[in-house]
Amino acid sequence: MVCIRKATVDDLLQMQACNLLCLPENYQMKYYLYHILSWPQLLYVAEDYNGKIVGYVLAKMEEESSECHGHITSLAVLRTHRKLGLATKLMSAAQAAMEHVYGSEYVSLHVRKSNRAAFRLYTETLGYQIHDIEAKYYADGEDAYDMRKQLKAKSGHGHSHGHSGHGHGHHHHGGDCCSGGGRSGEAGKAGKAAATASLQTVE
Amino acid sequence: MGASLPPKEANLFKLIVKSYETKQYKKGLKAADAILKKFPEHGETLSMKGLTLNCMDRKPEAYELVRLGLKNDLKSHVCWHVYGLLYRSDREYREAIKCYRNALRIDPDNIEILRDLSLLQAQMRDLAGFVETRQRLLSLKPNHRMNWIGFAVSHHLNLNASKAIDILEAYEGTLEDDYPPDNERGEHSEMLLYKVSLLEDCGSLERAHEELQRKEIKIVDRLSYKEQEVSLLVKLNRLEEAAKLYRMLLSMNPDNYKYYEGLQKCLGLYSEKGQYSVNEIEQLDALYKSLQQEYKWSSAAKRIPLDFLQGEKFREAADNYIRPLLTKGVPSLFSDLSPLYDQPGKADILEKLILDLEDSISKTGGYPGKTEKEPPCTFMWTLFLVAQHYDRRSQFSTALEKIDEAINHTPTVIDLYSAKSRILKHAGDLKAAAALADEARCMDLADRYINSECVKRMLQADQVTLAEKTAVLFTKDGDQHNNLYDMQCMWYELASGESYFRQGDLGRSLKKFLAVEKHYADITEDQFDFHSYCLRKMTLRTYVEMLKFQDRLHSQSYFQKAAAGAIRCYIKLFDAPSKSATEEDEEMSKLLPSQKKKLRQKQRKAEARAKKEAESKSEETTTSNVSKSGKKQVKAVDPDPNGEKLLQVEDPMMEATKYLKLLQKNSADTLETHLLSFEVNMRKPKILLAFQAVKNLLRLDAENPDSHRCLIRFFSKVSSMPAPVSDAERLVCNVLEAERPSISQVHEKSLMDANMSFLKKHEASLMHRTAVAEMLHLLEPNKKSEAVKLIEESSNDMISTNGALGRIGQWKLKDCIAVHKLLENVLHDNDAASRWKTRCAEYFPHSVYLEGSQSSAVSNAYLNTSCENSENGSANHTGSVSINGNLETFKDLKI
Repeated sequence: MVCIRKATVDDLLQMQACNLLCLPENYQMKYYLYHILSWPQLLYVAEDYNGKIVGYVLAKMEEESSECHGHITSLAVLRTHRKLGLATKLMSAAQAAMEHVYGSEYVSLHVRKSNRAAFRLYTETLGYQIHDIEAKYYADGEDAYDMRKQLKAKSGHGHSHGHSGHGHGHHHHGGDCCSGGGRSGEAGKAGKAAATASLQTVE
Repeated sequence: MGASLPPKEANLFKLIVKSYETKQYKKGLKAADAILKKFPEHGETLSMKGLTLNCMDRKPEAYELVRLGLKNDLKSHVCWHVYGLLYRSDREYREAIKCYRNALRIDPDNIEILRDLSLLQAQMRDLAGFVETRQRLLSLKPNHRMNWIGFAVSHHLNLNASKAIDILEAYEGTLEDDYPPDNERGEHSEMLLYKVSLLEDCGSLERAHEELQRKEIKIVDRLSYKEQEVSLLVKLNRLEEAAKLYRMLLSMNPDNYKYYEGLQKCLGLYSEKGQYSVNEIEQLDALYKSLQQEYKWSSAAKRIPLDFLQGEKFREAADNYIRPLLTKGVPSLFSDLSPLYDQPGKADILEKLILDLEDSISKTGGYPGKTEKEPPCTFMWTLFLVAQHYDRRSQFSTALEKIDEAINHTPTVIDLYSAKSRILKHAGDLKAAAALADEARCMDLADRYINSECVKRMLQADQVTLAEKTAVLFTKDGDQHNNLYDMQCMWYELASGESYFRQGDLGRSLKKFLAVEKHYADITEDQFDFHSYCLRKMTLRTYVEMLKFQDRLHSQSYFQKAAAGAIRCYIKLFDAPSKSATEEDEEMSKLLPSQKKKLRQKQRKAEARAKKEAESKSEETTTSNVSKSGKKQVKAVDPDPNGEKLLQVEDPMMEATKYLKLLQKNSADTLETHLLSFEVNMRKPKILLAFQAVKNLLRLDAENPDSHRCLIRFFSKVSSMPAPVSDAERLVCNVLEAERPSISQVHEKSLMDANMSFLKKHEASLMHRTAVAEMLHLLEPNKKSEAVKLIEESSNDMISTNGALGRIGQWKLKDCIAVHKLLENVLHDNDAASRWKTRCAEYFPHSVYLEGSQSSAVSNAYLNTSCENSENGSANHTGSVSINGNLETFKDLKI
């Protein structure tokens, strides 16, 4: 039905289009480039039979904090392609790469408090737990759950089915951006700011 | 730097440089002014002051000062470097490279300048220069890892992969045995994988494989390791090992089609076109049966056999595949099956199969041959599937019946309304499609996907204002009203540009198309920072992939559409220059010179006022928009929101040529490129370039009706040209005379004959007949009635299907509409046009254009929805939502 594979640079334009169709948190192309050129193993796409990207996960590593951990920047599946377990498969693939390539101890993400479908996916299917609540995390003033999942070494990635994946976005604030720079990005356009800030460091 | 200054000023100069680097521009400016007070001619200070001002949005002054500084101190590498930086900030890379080179002539070993130069060379793909600069950097600082890697990458890009390998191995030779330390393992692993991929590219397969295995423990990216290994094993023809590895990869990710394809290749069971012998099909069938057992959760292992199985086995497999997905209610089932419709015979099998399922569930409540009952929603999903099936087969009335049945069954499922909207769009009722999509949107206001879909339908129905209002519900970014442009939302801009174009609003249309073009320019620009970043991060494989992606960026379909759209706008502008401009000219010509002067002054003042207002407005939004980090978000106000200034071009064909060149360079194999080239060059007129376009069209598809049109139009134009007078004209004539025999269609044939033989070849095709008719009329305007007859005598032959629900004509709706437009606007035969409309309305009763009996133009069948919209943007969303009782949800929807 739908092919789950690592994203290539050629997929980025379609990933951006998919994001713009589904989610209110959007990023400029440079932010996608920044992800794939920093952590090429952490981007996955779901591609349908006609070569169309119908879902993706965009993830990163927070390398400078005390524990090395992964972070899901954005995950989306087209509404037309729900009930296939794509979100689970995409997440599992990205989580496995975080663990095996980067030795990530845990993975974090943010989700809107009101996004029940996504919350259910994270807690019930994927085993995330609420770590904290970030007040007014989103540009519109909504709170976010800061969620985490412990990645145990050598835990296989199961392929659980049957949840209803729903598009939802994570809004990353550039403040804790890894790979040099470390300058704080701006809320609202965090995507762009984070990418530029971390790139500005001189060789 | 600042060497010629006394100590106090020299320190001040250092302060300017430091302030620039730390972005404390005001401080830097103050220091510069302090120096200039004493040494007003000091070149380097003038330059640095200019560079500082450049960052404070005072560009004209910046250029003036930097140039003055350079003039005062031509021997200073600082002045040249600064000049280069200034150009670089304006993306004038070629000029910047020149400046850096001058700087290096004065200070050849300046690392900073060399590094800046190398970035520009990578950006501009000056690969020979890039190699040279990277070599220089390495010899100056051989103890930097980055310089080794940079030198290697430069050789790789310059198509010398083996040299790149040598450099990487030399670099490895400088490393200790216990390298890498823990914090560099990831980077080293990437470097090793890069080297192996280079060896593979060079064809050193054995060596690549040995190297990979030798370095196994140092490679942390296990998945890339395995994928690299399997690729090498296949190329080395070690298929048994490769097959084993593919199975291992499948156990890690049983939903990656590439692995299945690879496994099939290893087993000698792969055909590019999917054509297999009976024996092969049996083997494949057995293979996938075992894979299904092994990877129970894989949907790929279940779906792939539908591609190769045939006949009864296909029917059986499809049946087993479809049933559980219907029970589960998977909305994408039809889109998943749709590629099978292109394989001969499978559409008919699928039709029978799903009709049987529908029949059985409606009668017994269960699948055929089963006693257990299905839950009620299975029937609804079955109807959903059947409706999409008929839509795909262009049987729109049946499709609508089925989807309505599904909606009546379960009125709360949004997907049904989306599907109905899509069917209505295909059937030609864009207005009703938009209304339905809006109804779907109102059912879940928090879901951006259905909002996007609704916006798309509104744009297709030319309801641009309403579309924008709807889209903006999801694009508010703080105080900023609409960030579709900032977020590079290209599908929206294209659809909007196309709608404006249909409505004749060329300014706004052009504005949208050029916005997309700008996004592409920005993406090209985006790569700049990564030239150094990736050398540090060591993500070299992906970096090189990114450069290749950038090199073919402008062949992407969004860019093609934007460029084609812009060119069409310019063509239309050329054919009918915008009224306001000509009217203005006329008014102006009536005035006395002194009056003209006054009027111009007045206009200038008005413009200045508008600009000022815009600026103060932008300041207001800026100050109120201080974000958490305390930074201001500067948002410039667009001085030309409606694209009126874009229409004030002197030579539209010259503008069009800019974009045409990009298409010719990046999409040379697309028919449309050469059709546009033909139109542009016929207008310029550049006869030989138009001829080139004709030749390209014939090369790509000589049988295409449009290719035929261009061919005939071209030679018809040539024959009507006056006898050549100048040498250049004579040259053109000679070339064409020499070339004509090489074109078989018109060699020793009159254009009338050529036209008729084209007709003979394609007598059964509506669009070919229409092209012939149009050309007949062009060549001999008095044969209009003959031309009309040619069109009217076309017949809409039925394609028979074995379905029980009637037969479908071959004609497409868009073709029928195109023919009608031709009858009306080109052949100017209103009677024939109206006859044509009546006739086609029978085939497409839902088409609004054709005023079909079932369309919303005639009946209001589809417009009585809960989310009523008036046609052009006057609808009040809050009002319509309250009808649905969802006002509260709506209020919370501030995203």
